[in-house]
Amino acid sequence: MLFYLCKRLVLAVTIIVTAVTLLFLMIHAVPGDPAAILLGPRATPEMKAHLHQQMGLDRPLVVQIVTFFRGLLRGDLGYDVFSQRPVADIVFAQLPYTIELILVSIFWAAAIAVPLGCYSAMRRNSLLDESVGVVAVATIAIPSFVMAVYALLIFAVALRWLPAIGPGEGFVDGLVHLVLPSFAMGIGWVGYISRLVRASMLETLGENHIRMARSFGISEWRIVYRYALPLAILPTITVLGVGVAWLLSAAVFVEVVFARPGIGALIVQAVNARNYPIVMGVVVVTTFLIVISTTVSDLVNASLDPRAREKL
Amino acid sequence: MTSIDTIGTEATARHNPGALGAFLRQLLKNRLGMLGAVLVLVVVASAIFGPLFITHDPIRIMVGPRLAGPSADFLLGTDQLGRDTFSRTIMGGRIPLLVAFASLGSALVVGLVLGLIAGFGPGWLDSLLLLFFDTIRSFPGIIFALAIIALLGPSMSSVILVIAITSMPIYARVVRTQTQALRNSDYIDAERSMGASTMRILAVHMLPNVVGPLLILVSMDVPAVIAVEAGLGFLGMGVRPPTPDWGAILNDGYSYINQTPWLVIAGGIPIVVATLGFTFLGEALRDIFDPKLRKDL
Amino acid sequence: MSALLSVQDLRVRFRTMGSLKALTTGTADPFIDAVCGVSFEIRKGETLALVGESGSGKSTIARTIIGLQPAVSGSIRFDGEELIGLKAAERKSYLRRMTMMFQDPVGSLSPRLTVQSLLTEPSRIHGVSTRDRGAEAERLLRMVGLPGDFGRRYPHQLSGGQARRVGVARALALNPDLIIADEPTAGLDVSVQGEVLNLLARLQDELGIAILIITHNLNVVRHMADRMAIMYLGRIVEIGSTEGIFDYPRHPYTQALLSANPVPDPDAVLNRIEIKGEVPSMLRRPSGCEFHTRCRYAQEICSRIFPEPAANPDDVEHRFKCHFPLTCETKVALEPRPRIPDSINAVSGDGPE
Ligand SMILES: Nc1ncnc2c1ncn2[C@@H]1O[C@H](COP(=O)(O)OP(=O)(O)OP(=O)(O)O)[C@@H](O)[C@H]1O
Ligand code: SF4
Ligand SMILES: [Mg+2]
Repeated sequence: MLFYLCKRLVLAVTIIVTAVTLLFLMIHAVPGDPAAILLGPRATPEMKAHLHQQMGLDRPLVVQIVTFFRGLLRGDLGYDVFSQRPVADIVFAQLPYTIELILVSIFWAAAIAVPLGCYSAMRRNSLLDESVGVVAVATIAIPSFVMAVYALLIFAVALRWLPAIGPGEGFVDGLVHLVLPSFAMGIGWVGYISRLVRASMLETLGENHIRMARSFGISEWRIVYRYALPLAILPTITVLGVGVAWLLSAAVFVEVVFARPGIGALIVQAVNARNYPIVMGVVVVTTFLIVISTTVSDLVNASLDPRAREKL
Repeated sequence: MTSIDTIGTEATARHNPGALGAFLRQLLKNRLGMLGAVLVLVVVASAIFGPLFITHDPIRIMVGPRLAGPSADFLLGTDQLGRDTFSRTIMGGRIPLLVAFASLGSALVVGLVLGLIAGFGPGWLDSLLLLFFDTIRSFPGIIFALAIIALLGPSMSSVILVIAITSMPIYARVVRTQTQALRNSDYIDAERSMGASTMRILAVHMLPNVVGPLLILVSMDVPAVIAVEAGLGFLGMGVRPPTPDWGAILNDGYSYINQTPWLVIAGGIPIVVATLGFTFLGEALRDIFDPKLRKDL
Repeated sequence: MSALLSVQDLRVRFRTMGSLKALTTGTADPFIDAVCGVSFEIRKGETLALVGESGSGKSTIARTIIGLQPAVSGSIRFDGEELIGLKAAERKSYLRRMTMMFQDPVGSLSPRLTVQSLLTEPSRIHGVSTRDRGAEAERLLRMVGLPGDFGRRYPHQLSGGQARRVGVARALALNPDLIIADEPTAGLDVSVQGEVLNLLARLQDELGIAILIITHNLNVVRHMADRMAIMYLGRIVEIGSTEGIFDYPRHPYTQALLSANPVPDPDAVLNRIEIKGEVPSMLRRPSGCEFHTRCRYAQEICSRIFPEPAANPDDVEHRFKCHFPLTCETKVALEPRPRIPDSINAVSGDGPE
């Protein structure tokens, strides 16, 4: 396991280094001058040269990469010439909003999906099980931004039950403003998690000690909650780690639709403004998040299942 | 990251002449699959034969009043530029389908080639390619797509490129795993023992056994691609106006959501129909051809 | 007498773990010698059987000869030409003249190809122009006793025996001089085994092909082979004419192997000699004679000194490696016992302990 741990961590670091290098190369493979695009058509050559120097674009590529990595180690993602602030400050100011949104969405989705999955596993092939199966596939398929716009249309615009946009002020208002966004984001996960729980629950329920408990006459729900669920939930958690990329993508749309702050909204603004340092900063930070979460979930997986350690 | 590896290692080497008939019979039995097939047919047909149905030129502005509701003349109303929403919706399916076809097609070809190389080539090349695949897979979906579009500028080809790049590693990994499973099989050894060249082994004996599960995977990715294309269109990063596109229509609808619900409906429903149709059909294909392909991608 | 195939001091090794892992676990030598200094010859038209327990390196020898596995050292000469060190393109012309049949009859046929394509695959690979592939396939099918319309079938539509016949037909496609057959009867019904062996024997008589046959089954050896070689832990411990070895095995391992062989006649009960203990791992080869951990004749010297090859005085082709080769007296133990009552299950005999 220790061997696997080391190998997995080395892989994670290698991926991050490769990813950042690839991003850098991509920026430089593209024709066109980022500084010129930033400044617009009326920029004078002096302005461009000045900006070049400020962004470090006048130095050789290798030097730029090395400088960037060195900054990365210090938590420095570069400097935004527009707002005259460090990129890291801007990105990390927005990150908590996105994480809050993701956590709330996953939380309510799991709160509904886990019992639903248990029930489906216990009453396998019942009407509820089958319809949950179909609805799960459907909700996973429907894109989150369509969900978001429709939720907005129905509950905020037509029915006026809930606030339409913004993060809200204060705790309660904030929660109220989270209802629609987290609904749009979480609904697909209800189906996904319930199917996962169902599958691993079916596996667990078939195992010996569970059958033994059943033969002692312990009630079905009690078996599920006390004995089977703790075992069945772990594989689900590891899959969640891999789902972070998915959640981040959904967050982009949801933040835009509901005009919430967050890194999704940030990158859309930055792309519209062609503000490369910010774009790069957001991509690097989110890539970090994804690598960390996949690494953690692989490690959890490996500690649960020795066979997983062989793969790498 | 691990779940991908196990996909499709069980090569399904079935082949018989009546396969198409048997497949259609099985599809008929699968109700959701049938529903999916019908929805897909509707979407594809309206994209192909759209010009026969449309009532107005989809890009001409001010054919009617701005933001009007449905009427006999404008079945789904008009948008903020007075264009006919119905005609735009019908024609708006071409771009997503085209993008799906082009991006997944190129991802398939590239993934196939790189996967075969990784699976059959020397170990160091395999490790290098794996690192490359895993790196691309740890780029964050839409955020990465937006970054590429920031570089290349918003256009349909940027969208195709981005989707091709991000879908390719999964295909390549699946092909690699399967190639590795097959490369030590007796029949590959037998071919080598007869003196067959590596190219011949890959093309004649490996490819046909790898491509089946891969096609199923690709077909299951179609709804996701349609969603990404529409999403980028919705963010204004997709195909350029005035070309009709569902995502762009939804974006117009979102901008004027307080004035009229019809644009949102006209842009959103087709996206839902298309993604659901392709999802149900893809699941049915998988269930019929390769039940071992893992569900939890 | 010129040898068609001559293998000298062949050595093949496998890596047992990655170098990183070997470093962390402190394994200095992460290799096994699956084939460890093997020498033998096959003459034109002759059949040599390679016998030994599972894992003794038989298949590895075959795969190395055909070029699927690189050799560490030694020489493999085919018709006088050295094969080791040849590039794939240079080797190709020899692969026309020697073909290999793999253990799994169905699994060694490419699953998406029809039997006809499978049978004409060798000529396509070697650029031999055949006017009519259909007729060519039919000719080959008839040669192995299958109906001509089998050409349209796919491998998964064949039974094991049929697939094996297709394999034989494919091996014959380009009139080879040598066929290497790895367990040609494995996994087949007993009656089908007989048919396949008869087929091979018949074709060998008709076409004058040499065969290297790899098998566990001593009946196959007796039925097919002119000469046989017995392998233990990647080495040949005894080699000679089949008759000579069956009559007068000199190596204790051969004796044990022969006595363990189930005999087709259920009434005949052999004195079976149990081989005690596990097969040692190739990772940790025993010192001296590698069979000493299991040999019932082992003496002190056996665990120290590797026995030099020796030959039978009256048959120099019969060679073996043992400090204390069996003599005529020990051989008596192999004679069939008197018939015993039917009620005792003939096969369940656990040896004469
Ligand atoms: N590709 C390989 N990598 C590592 N070790 C191998 C490989 N192929 C074979 N070996 C090892 O080499 C030894 C000899 O294997 P081989 O297949 O030649 O035996 P065999 O005599 O043919 O056995 P069987 O009768 O079971 O076919 C075995 O210990 C095996 O584990
Ligand atoms: S050398 Fe000794 S141990 Fe080896 S086979 Fe002969 S008697 Fe047995
Ligand atoms: Mg073998």
